[in-house]
Amino acid sequence: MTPSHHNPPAPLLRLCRINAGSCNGCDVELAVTASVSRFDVGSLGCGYTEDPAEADIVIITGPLTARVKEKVLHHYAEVPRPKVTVLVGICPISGGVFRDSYAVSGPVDRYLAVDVNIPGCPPHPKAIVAGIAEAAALWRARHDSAPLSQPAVTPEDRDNGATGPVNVRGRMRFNAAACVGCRMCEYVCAGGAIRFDEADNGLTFTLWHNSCALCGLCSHYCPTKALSATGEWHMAHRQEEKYRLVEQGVVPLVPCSGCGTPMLPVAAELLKIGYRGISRETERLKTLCTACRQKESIGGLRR
Amino acid sequence: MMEAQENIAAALGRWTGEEVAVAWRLDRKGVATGWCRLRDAANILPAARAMANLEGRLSMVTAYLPTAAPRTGIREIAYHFDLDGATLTIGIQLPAEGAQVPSITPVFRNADWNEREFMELYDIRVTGHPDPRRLFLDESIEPAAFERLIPYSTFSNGASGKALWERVMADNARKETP
Repeated sequence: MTPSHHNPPAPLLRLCRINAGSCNGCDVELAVTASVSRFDVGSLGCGYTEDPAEADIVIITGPLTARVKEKVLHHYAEVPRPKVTVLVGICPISGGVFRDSYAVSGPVDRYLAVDVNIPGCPPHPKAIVAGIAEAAALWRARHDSAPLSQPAVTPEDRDNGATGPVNVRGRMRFNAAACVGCRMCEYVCAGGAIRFDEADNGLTFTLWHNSCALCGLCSHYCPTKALSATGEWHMAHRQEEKYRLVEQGVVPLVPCSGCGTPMLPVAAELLKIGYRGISRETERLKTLCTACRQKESIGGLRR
Repeated sequence: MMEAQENIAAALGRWTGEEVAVAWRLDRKGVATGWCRLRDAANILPAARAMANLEGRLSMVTAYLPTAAPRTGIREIAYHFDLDGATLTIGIQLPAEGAQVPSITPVFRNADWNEREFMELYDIRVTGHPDPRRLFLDESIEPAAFERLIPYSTFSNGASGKALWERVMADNARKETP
């Protein structure tokens, strides 16, 4: 007889969804988790309820607009403890593409205790189910006052790529070797998820997944395709990890072969765009900084 | 087309009593765009009549403060017309202080909202407008809102995004140093 026979079946956990001014994109994906058996939350021992007073897990979508803020907080307060709060989509987590708008009061964790974040715009139903599984584990640990288990999916698992079908819009990847530091990605990023920092050791690229709308503008405009979309959909994480969920890379500076001034290296990908073939002359010129290259070019014209 | 373009300049000259030079450009697809300025801003009304006479349509009106306005004391309005597929933009210059311009709504009805809009957003008085009510702003708000008020987004200066990024950078700096 296995020990499980002595335990009563785990109680059904009820999920309550609060729309905090969402575009309904995430809500459509949530509907999938209620109606499509492949992604069904039922298999996790969860089911949806309309009544916050009988819910165990709260799922919030939307950036928390100023208009709905009070209603959302009132609704949230009706959920009995121990409740577990799950944010679905980048809007409630960071404000997403609506951040800093006068009409948005979020991020949601300014007002209430958040447990699990599921970034995406919208997240894939599989990511939502994984996040809810995480929330259910948290709820049971809290309810039974049991010690908290390790997260169901660790950052290492994510890095080793929980991937979906090829058409999934997954997390973005950065290839520092191909980056030319033009910063076009930072400029076009809809969610303000990309920033560059200059330091003595080089140019640091940071992409915060919790603000990334997965729109692909960065990779579309990247001249050397240093940014590319992956099929990795799994980004659900506990709140403690919220600010650590980044894609980072450093483009190290190299000294100019002429004057020694540190400069960004010329990526091979860039030369491929600029030249049909790489001559020895090009190879030499690419090790020079802009100022030295200008001098060389003008000097080179003298015959 | 050359002939039509000369006709337009001639008509503008006849109706306004000014000599108007129109600079025409042709894009790769053969679409013509013409640009000109009137010396006297009050001549925009006869110029609009000239456009109506040529069976032109008013596309829209754009009032704006050029970047150099604080230095030059000059503001501008651009009137964009469509003449059988060609676009003609007629620009006028007005003083930054005490600007006044005649309404062209009696000639082109669609100028109504454009003029009412710049009446409340800029310090421009429109004379002879048939219906000079507020378009967007409440009556209790003084006009020239764009010149007196700071947009909320500028005012808040991305405060939420800034705070979040500070957390992201702080948390990830910690990760690198074990």
